[in-house]
Amino acid sequence: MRAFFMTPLVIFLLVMIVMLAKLLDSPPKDMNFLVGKPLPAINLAAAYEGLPGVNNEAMKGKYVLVNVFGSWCITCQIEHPFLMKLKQNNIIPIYGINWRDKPEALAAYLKTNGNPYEAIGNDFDGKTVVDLGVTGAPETLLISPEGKVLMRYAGPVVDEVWALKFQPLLGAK
Amino acid sequence: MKPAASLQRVKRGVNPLRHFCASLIAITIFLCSTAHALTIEKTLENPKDEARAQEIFRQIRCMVCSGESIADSRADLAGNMREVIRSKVSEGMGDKQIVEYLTSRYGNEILMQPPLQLATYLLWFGPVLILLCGIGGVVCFLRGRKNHSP
Repeated sequence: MRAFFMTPLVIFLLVMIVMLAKLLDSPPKDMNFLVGKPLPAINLAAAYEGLPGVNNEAMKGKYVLVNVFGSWCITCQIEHPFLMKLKQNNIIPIYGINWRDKPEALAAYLKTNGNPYEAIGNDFDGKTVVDLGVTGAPETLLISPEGKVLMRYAGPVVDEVWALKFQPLLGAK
Repeated sequence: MKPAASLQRVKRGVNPLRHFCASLIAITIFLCSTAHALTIEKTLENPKDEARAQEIFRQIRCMVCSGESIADSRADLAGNMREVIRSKVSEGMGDKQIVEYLTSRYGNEILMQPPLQLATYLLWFGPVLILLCGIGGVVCFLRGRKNHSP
């Protein structure tokens, strides 16, 4: 008799546990449906005077970072010093995608904080950002020399993140 | 003494009906102003296209809000996605194609409703199955009781 009453309750609890686990399991920060696929075509005009815009041709032949950022983005300022470090030590070229930004604001931001980028593309209408499956700033993609997306990180790239997530993939195909 | 004084207060005080109407007007103005904030974004000129775009918006989840579609959300990314969808609609891209494009970039979680695929059959039909089992269990139990009662 008892068992009869307990069974539906047990099933209910099991289902609840599974659903709760799935719900709380937010997508990992390095998940993106482009990982493993070729980088979509990017063709952005220059956002900053003095640096070219961003296109796939310029990025081929070497490992590069594609970094989505904006001068308005507070979290981007947290990763900025590390990006400067990457630039100053010639570790990896960084191609910036300037999302929803104004040229004056961008110029002021780079003047104050320094410029770690090889090129900065103007993505004011956000078409490229959606094309890359990006959900916010800062987000960074690691691209192989053949133009394949090796990984994507949603959040500020700082020393620990670089060491744990990006560095191991340098040398991957 | 006291009842007279309170009566006086009611007479001199704010007419409750007027107060209610004023509140109603204020609330309506407030609601209209927030609606206006949303319509500042450029809609498509062709009303058919805009209607098509709106229909797609209702199917796409806002990735940075919990549970809202991009039709309802005021988040930046949602506005961004609406713009991108509008430009694809005006370029002539079909509804299915646009949705496929977005799921290829963001995965199935970008859809408000999980797709009806083999992998999600359990999600869709599970609750109904559990309900049927429950009903079946209750029926069996009641039948059993009938047999046992004198």
